[in-house]
Amino acid sequence: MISIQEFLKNVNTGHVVRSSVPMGLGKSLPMLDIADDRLLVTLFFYRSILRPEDKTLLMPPEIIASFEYPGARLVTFETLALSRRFTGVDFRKPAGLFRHEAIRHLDREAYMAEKERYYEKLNALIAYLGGGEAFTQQDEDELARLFTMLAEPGLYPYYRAACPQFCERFLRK
Amino acid sequence: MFLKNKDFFAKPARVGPKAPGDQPDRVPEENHTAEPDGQKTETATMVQLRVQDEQLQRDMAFLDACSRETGRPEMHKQLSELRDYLKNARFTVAVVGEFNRGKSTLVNKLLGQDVIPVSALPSTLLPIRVEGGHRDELIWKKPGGETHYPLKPETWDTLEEEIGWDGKAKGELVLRQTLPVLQQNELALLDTPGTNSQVKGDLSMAEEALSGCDCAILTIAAVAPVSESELRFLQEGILTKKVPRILVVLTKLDLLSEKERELVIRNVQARLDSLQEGLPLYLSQSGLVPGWEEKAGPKAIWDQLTAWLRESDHTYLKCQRAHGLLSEMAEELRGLYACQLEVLEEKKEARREKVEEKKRQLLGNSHIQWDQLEIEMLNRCNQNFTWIREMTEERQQDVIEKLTLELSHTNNPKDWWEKDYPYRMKMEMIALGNALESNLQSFYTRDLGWLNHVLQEKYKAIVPPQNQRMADKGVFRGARSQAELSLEDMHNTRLISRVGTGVVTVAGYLLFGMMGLSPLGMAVGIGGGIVSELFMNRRVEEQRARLGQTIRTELPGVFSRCVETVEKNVRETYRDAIGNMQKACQNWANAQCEAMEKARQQGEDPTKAQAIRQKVEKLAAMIQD
Repeated sequence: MISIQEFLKNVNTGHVVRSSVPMGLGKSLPMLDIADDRLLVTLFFYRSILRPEDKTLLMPPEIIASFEYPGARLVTFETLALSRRFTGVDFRKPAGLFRHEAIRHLDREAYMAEKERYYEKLNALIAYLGGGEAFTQQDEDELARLFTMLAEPGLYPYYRAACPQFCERFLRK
Repeated sequence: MFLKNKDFFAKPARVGPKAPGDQPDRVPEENHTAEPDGQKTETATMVQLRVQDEQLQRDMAFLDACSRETGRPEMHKQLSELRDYLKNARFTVAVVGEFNRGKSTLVNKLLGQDVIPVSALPSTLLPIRVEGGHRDELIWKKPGGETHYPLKPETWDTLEEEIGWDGKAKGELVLRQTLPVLQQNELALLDTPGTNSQVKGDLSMAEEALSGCDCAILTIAAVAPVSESELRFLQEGILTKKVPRILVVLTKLDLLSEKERELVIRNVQARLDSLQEGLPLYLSQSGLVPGWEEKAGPKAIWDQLTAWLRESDHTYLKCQRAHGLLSEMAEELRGLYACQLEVLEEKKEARREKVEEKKRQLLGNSHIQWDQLEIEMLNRCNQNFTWIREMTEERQQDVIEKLTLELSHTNNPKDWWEKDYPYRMKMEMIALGNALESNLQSFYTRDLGWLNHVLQEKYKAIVPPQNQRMADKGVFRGARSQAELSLEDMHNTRLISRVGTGVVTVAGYLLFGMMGLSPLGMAVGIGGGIVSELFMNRRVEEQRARLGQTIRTELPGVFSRCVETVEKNVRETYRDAIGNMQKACQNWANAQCEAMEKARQQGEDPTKAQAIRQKVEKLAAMIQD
């Protein structure tokens, strides 16, 4: 079974991203979902405007997509600007800043290390879902801590909209 | 991937040690220390207000007592806010508007220097009151006390971190400046958070600021002039608050071309005129539009503000606003007392009968109204059914056409039927389910909004929305049975036929070759090949026709089953809403009946009726024409 890191690489280089996601959009932290007994990885794609001194503007996401794990087959694709449930969002206005408060103390290496830890926890959860080793309470708390810390608060509503079950479980207030 | 623990997300989260900072979304608001402050402020207010306003204070005290007696705590809070408003001797100008409309920039321009930081993101997290003082200082006034900060550039960053972006912070920032413009004029400028920012509570901050100000400046950006939400905020947030003076300022005109500027100004002016409130329009920058010199630039706005400040009717307007608000409260209280009095004035037996009669009448009338509401909701529900039917029929035709077209291009109908068709159907059904869900949820929200509007007006109740999926995922995403058709694998058949043709050609060539007629042998082989190809094509066509027919017969059934489930869910959701509505209405009716019963029991005391009568008269005297 491939790791989530490899999976994301496949998604990044896959035809869906190349053909349907505009260039320059970054992807969110991956979230897991289960539908029809299939494991899905949900991501959203958003634009960021680089600014110095931790004032990089995060624009509202433009696309939410789910891919089947591990084959990376596209299952759902939603363009937020055309979706009724996001009619109240002004996509021209930034939704948040990077780096946010929770990761301000981390330098680039430390941030990447935390992200890697998050991926490893996702791998552990994927293994558990497939019938592998137990996913303990400690693992769950650690995954929640990493997700809550790494996800940008300004984008919380979009994380919740993209993958409610996962956020219900792992996005701690 | 095969999932063994597929119920992971369905199980409730295990309770583990809480993550640091793991707190509920909203902390309960701390109670305001109204009583001790109220005592102090009342004295201060009486000194500052003019003689006739002592009457206002007495009226407020009386209404406060009545509100407590009739169990209306929200009225007590309104009165407390009104006291604060009257206590404030400064002419307070609240600058309100949506996020990124240049509110802070305008405040800085009015003061002639950058006293408030501005940025492209919503940087005003709490209302900032800028007022004159003996020294420059920054104070965060919170419900629990106040914190003083030195006024340095980095202070704002520290404050931003302390306040946070989660909307939990309460209070107000007071920025005292030694600027001559502020010291010479008893004026305070109140910069507010954007009314449409994503931080919860920003709208209520702006609304609170409006209820305690003497003048409101609504900033509208020329790049996005008078959106529907701005117009709604102007109507519902500002005009209904009875703010005595309102000014609309058009900002960011410099971002438009010269031709566009005039067009935008005309458009904004027309929209403001349509409100028929005589709202003056100013431009934040001067020298951009010819003909607007008198109403453009910070100086023109400042002149207008100081003119209003110095007008003699400033205090009068303030009192008038207070009287208006008191009058509304008095009217509400009078209604309550009048109802009690009506019951009290009847004789004991007659009173009992009257109460019973009134209860019956109330319940009877209420039931009629509830039935009407129920019928209306069911009608709305039925309209959804019509829409669902029309929408799915249209979609069904599209899907049939799409699948038939796809089928007409396939060379092996069996393969297409077994592999491609189920996947295509699943995708189509998921798309249909999503479209239905999205539209039905918006219809439901609209209908529930209407119902709640009626309930709020008549019964002071609301029905909570049902968080229920109408286009059930299971129905649209689940596996579907499909007709078992015995189809021939044309790929194999064609292969066999081609091999056969080849063999015949070779055999014919050899056989007729021995007779010296090898071209004839070749011709027989080729002829056989053509015939077999034609035959194969006909077989494919037959299979396509058969599958096309099956799709046309099968699809309506599939769609129909899905639609039936959706309709059932929609009906249940609306039924739930109706059920909740009936419960809420019944509670309201019970409370009314209890109040009548209580009043009847108190009716034994003759002084009670007299006291209520006096209150009703006093309240009637407070009500403005």
